[in-house]
Amino acid sequence: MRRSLNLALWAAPLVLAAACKPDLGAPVSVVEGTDPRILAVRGVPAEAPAGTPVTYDILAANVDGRIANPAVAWAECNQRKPPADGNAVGAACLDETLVPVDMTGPTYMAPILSDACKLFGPQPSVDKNNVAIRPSDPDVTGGFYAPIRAELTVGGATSIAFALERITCTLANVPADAAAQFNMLVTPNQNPILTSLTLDPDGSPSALYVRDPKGAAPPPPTTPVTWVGSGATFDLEMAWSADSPESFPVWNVQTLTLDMHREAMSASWYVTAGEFQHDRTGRAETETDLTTRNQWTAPVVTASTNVHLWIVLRDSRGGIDFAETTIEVRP
Amino acid sequence: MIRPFPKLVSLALVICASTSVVPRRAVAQEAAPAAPGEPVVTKAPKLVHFVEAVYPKDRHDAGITASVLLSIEIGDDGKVGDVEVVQGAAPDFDAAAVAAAKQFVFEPAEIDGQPAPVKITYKYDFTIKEQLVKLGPQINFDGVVLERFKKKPMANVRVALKDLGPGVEGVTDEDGHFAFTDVPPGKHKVELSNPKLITVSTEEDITVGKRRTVKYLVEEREEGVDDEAVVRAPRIKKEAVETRIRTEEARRVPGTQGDTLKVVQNLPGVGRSAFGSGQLIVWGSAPKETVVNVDGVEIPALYHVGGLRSTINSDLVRSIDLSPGSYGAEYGRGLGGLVKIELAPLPKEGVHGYVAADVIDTSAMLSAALTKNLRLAVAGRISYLDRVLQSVTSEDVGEFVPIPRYDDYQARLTLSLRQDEEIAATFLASDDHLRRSIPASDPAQDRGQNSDSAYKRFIVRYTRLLPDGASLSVTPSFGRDTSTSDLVFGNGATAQHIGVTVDTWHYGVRGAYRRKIAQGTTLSFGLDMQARAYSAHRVGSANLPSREGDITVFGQLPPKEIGVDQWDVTLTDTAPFVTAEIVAGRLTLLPGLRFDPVLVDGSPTRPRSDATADRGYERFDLPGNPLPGHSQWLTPLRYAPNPRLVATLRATKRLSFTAGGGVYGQPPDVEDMSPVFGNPSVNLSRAIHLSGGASFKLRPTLTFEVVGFYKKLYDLVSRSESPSPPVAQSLTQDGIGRSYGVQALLRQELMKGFFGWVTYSLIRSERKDHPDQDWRLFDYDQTHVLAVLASYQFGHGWEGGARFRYTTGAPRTPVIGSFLVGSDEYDPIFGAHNSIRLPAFYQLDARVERSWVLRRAKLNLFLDVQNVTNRKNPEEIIYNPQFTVKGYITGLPTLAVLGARLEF
Repeated sequence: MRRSLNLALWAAPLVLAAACKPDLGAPVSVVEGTDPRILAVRGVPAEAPAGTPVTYDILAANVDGRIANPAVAWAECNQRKPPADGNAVGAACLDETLVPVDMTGPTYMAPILSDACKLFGPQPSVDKNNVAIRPSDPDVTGGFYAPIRAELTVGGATSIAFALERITCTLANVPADAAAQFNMLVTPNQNPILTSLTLDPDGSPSALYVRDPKGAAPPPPTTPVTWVGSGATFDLEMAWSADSPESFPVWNVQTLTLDMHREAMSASWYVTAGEFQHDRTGRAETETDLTTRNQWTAPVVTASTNVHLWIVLRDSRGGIDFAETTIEVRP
Repeated sequence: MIRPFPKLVSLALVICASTSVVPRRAVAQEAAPAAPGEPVVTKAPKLVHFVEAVYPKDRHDAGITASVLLSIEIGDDGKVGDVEVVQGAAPDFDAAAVAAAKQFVFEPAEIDGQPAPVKITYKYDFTIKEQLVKLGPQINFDGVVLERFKKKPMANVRVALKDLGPGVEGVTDEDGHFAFTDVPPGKHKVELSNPKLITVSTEEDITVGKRRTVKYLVEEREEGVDDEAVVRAPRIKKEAVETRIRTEEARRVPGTQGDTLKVVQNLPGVGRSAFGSGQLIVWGSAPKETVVNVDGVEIPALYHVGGLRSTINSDLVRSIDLSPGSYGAEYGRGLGGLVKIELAPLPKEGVHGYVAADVIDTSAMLSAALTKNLRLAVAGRISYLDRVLQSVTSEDVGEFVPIPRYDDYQARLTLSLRQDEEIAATFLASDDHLRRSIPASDPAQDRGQNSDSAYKRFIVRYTRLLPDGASLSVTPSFGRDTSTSDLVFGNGATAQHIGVTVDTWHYGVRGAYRRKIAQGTTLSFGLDMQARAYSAHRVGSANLPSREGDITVFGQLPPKEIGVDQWDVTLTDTAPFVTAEIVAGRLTLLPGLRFDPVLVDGSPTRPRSDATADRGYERFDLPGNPLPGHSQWLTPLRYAPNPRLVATLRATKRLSFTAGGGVYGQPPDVEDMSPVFGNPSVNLSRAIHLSGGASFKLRPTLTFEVVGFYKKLYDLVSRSESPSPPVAQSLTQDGIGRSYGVQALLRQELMKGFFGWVTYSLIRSERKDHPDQDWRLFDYDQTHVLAVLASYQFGHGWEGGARFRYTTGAPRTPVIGSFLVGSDEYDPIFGAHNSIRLPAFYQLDARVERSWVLRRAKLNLFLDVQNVTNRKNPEEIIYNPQFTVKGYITGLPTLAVLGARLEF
């Protein structure tokens, strides 16, 4: 931006340069350093009613690759977020005195809090003085979420992440007929399924990750799946299953109508070396494509180097899938 | 020959006389004390008939003076007997003196109580005194009357010598001249008056034989406000702290691009607003707490969005007054400062106007005297900076520097009904639009903004000066404000919209009557009524738009929750006020009272629901007077009118002291009254202002002022402390605030082509959102604010100036960590509230201007360069998405605005 701007300055009678974005280091898509970094926390199932057991796992990595079997300290947050808090979860959920720590390990299974729809949802609730409290607002998909905290400490460095488990709550404050129709149409959200990651799809395609949508996810590769040349630039294409973008009803709080929507899909890209063209790509609700592309430039190396690459797919209702692969970069 | 006296008494008297005047008082030497038994002179002789000696002509013509000492015998009947020369000067002088002395007649002396003959010594002085020659009527008092700021001659100004009775007066001619003939010597009271001027009086000392020529600088009347002012001293300040800038100066301030109203940003007590905000931060108050009035009518915005221009054409503005606090009872509805904009009178004849263009916008104005009494002006402006930027800069400029598109237009019609009576109709309109769309590789990260805001005001102002010197003004007004803001995050039907729409109808009437009720005492009272009917709609997250005290970080995506609300509120504020102006010698007191009840009428009280019908509410509220203690007898005072007081002590001609204070109230912000996002029960916030300072006139146009102030704020609206606030109580009214500091101003008014000022403010402003919390820094707190500016006319049409500004950076809350949430974004972990600051801001601006006077027009070219040194001033802290790396968004580098203006 700076260069184009300076050129323009000479050409214009108006000497103007607008504020410039400062250098903020490596893009978010680059995993660097040995400190742990949680890239995703997944709940299975992606949506469930209060009291339903949910299993959570995480994708954590550092520059050396995925952190296997991380000793994650899990905790459930039972504190509401103040309505005007700019964060997705309240600061109280970071306070260890308020969050019960139940277990440590790579996964965590627990039922959703029984009063989750009162704590985090639209159900009427009262305070200790029996005064009705303000219910939580839904997101644009009509969803309410319970936060589950995952804290990973490796070598003295800590990474914190929250899963936002979508909770199935009864529609509140809507006409009875709309509520009945909603209940007829709604199905709990399912996690999307990543089916493939392909290198150079238009040239010499090379499958970096493949999964049968009806089967289990393959284990992470222990050796590089393929190799690329130093500094080369390639297209990458991620694909997901046809039923990943689900349809769902939303009670439109503005128009007071029940609208049907299709999930938008977002993909986050992470790599330990090289550079993506975009940190995130995706498909809008109206786009029916089941793929999204990005461009990756391999690092310039003088010796063969393994580069770890992760992709995280997320649907607009909070469902998550992730995958990983390893590429060798040769000089 | 000396006649024998029965009792000769030796008496020495020396009587002096001159040839040209009646004899002066005789000076007698004390008689020698008499010996016991000797006769005693009990009464000295008294000259009752003096005869002037004939001055020898040749001596007189040669300028020779002389004294002749005579010995005069005075009989017991007072007649002169022998006269002898005791000490002569010259024969001709001696003879003349003797001849004259012989014609003297005395009251006889008395010895032992009986008339008796005596002999005295008399000194006759021959002196030459200039003769006043009467040549007929002579002008001995004249002068010229000029407008104080423009220095233009003022015609038709009545100049009266009040102490000489009615009718001793004159009127200035087209050149501003006046003259009086044969004014008696002595001190006379001079009064200058004209319906368009502030009447002033002064005193002139006329001496014999000398012509006194004077130059009076007078100030045009602020109609309905200033009926009287004290001469040779600053116009009486109606506010305890007030800075007035004339448009002639304001237009030439560097960095304002010729926009008169932007000068307010450089006045003492005014903090620097964040880049692109155009907000007014006065004495540590929030921007919404400062009220902007145009001819007494409130407008919602002084500047267009982005702060690039003011919303009113500068050529329609006569003056701008800023009172950062402690202002009088005529105004209210604000906890912060007061900006008063006075519209200019229209030219009395001819067609005038201007066309101006620069890289920001184009504006024009046309005014015409349609008839002798009817004048019309229209003005307009339209911006195109956004399109200029699009063509000369890269596309992503708009991501960080949204450039709004704006326009404004005005019309003004004035009709002189008769002498000292006028009606003026003014229409003001302003529009702002901002459209931008920032696509992303992930449609969920698309961003867009659509904002529109507009206001319109129709103001009718009737003013009359009554024959008894009283003044009356009535100003009805109505208007409409609309604002719509829609931020879009994402793409498609499930994109997140965050927006507020407020539609406001404004109705107002302001009336004021002012008259002198006694010598030195003027009383004014009036009514300031305003009704505003709001209809509001809001959608989105509860934290946007953010409010003062929110802990936020630039660039963070909003929470994904969506709430919706629609509500209506009508605020009817009927405020009678009374003020007095009491001049007692050097002390001027301006006490005032303002009673400001507000009727709050709204709906609904709780979030709308299908299950229950909406319920409305109606209540009165007052900005009650904060009083100590809880005594019952004090309770009525809490609901008494709010007191205001300004006191000015003119210690010397150059030094004056001012103190002021008062209780102020501000109606609730309708955006806070949403049942879903706010609290419909919020009421008025209150404040106490106290200030005191001194003003020292170093020279007639060079003034140094220093003012200290303290403000306490009560009942401020703040977020609920509870993470689970009750329904319709997301906001509470627990907040309190305080700000205090000192400001100094050294100002050189326009003189010999130069003007400038140095202003420094040291301010601290703090808030408590809830009483149990600690004080924290106010979001807009700026410890040091320094502005230095100067402008000089070099001659030959060249003019230049520079402005330097320094301000402490605004407080920010540090980010001390972060966490991943929802597997797609990071949220910050904050440190102590407002515990760090942005780096200090300093910037140098310059302006060069060249004018050409054409036959019937004036052409002006200017180059206004902001940030001459290209300093990268940090305007905001920005973090990487993980909040692990911090950087600064810097403000505009060098910005050169080239413009032209053709005036006719």
